[in-house]
Amino acid sequence: MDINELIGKLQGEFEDIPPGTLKPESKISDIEGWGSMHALIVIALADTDYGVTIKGDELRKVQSVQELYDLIIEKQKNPSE
Amino acid sequence: MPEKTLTNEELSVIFPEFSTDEIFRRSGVKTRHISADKEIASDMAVVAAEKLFLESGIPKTDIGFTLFCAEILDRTAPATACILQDRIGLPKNSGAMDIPMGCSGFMYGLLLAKSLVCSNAVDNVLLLTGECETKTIHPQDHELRMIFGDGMAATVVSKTDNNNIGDFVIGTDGSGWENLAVRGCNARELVTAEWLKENESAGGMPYGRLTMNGTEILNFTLKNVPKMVNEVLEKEKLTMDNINLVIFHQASGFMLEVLRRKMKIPKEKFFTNIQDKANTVSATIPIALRDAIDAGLTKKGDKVLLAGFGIGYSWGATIITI
Repeated sequence: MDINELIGKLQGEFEDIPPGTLKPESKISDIEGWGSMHALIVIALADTDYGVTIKGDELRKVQSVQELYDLIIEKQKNPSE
Repeated sequence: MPEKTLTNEELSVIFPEFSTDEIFRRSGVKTRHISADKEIASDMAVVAAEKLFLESGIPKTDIGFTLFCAEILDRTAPATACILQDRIGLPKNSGAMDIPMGCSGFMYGLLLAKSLVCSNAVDNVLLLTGECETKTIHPQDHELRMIFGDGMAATVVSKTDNNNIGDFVIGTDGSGWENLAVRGCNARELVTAEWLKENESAGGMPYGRLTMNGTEILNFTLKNVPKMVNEVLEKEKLTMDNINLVIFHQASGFMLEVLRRKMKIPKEKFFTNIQDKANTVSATIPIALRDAIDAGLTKKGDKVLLAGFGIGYSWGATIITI
């Protein structure tokens, strides 16, 4: 996958976030309306579409969409982590 | 179901930051039923049991064992099931026992009821499963108030010539207990003056307070439920194609949809009634089964896969034949 695919999927899931808002450098904490529901959506997407488990505290450390992408790639390479 | 309801319109007034659409999107629930003040699980169990005997025509004298599944019990001792024997008017020569389990409670109750019948201990088991969970939810906890409601189900498991309840897959992982638990007002966390003061605005939270780590519960569910479903299908030498209807514990609308998508279960096979009934803990599966039967979605001979999972962590699944 590439990061645009991830952004496309996130955009599809986040009905309340206007299209085009998400970019690799987008800071997750700056996304308007970001909350606990979005965290659940990201965790569910990582599991169902990319086969990786992201813990809540791992997601809280992620600052940008790029970092989220890197975390998923890293976890795909090292499934035990 | 208790008569009193809590709608998204009412919740939206209490939590103006959430519109009714947003509440529905987050929870999948439109209406929840709420137990009356001081009405606890055993009170609902008496109502559910009386309704069952009235509607089914099964005489109370046929009951050989009562299993009462709830986490909010009348008192530490005696078992609430003993008090229920007297309140419902069940035979004195019958057994009665509590099962203090939550979201997986119906599956555990069904397994125990089946075991009691198959071991020839008794012919009929009355299984009462449900909760007054809203008593443990802090009035300001919007997340939990959106998802949970109160409810109680009464089921009779009887001896027949056919093995209509299949094999079970069960599991437990107590290492995750802290991610979903009722804190305070228990033997490990005794009620203190500080607790009552801290929760003064919420009536003191005398039943304890339910807390949930949503992300960890989601991960637990995504890891264990698909595995459990595959195992129960393998055990019965079936595939999802052979299953007519799937009924999961109605955890939350979001969780159910994520699970359905992950397991690629067709929408028409995946029954949900969380919209009108909310998450009633160990009552969700039997209430959903009743609703599915009433809606004509199952017919005699159909295979229905039932799966419960949650607090504990604890999980269980089986396949029944209607």
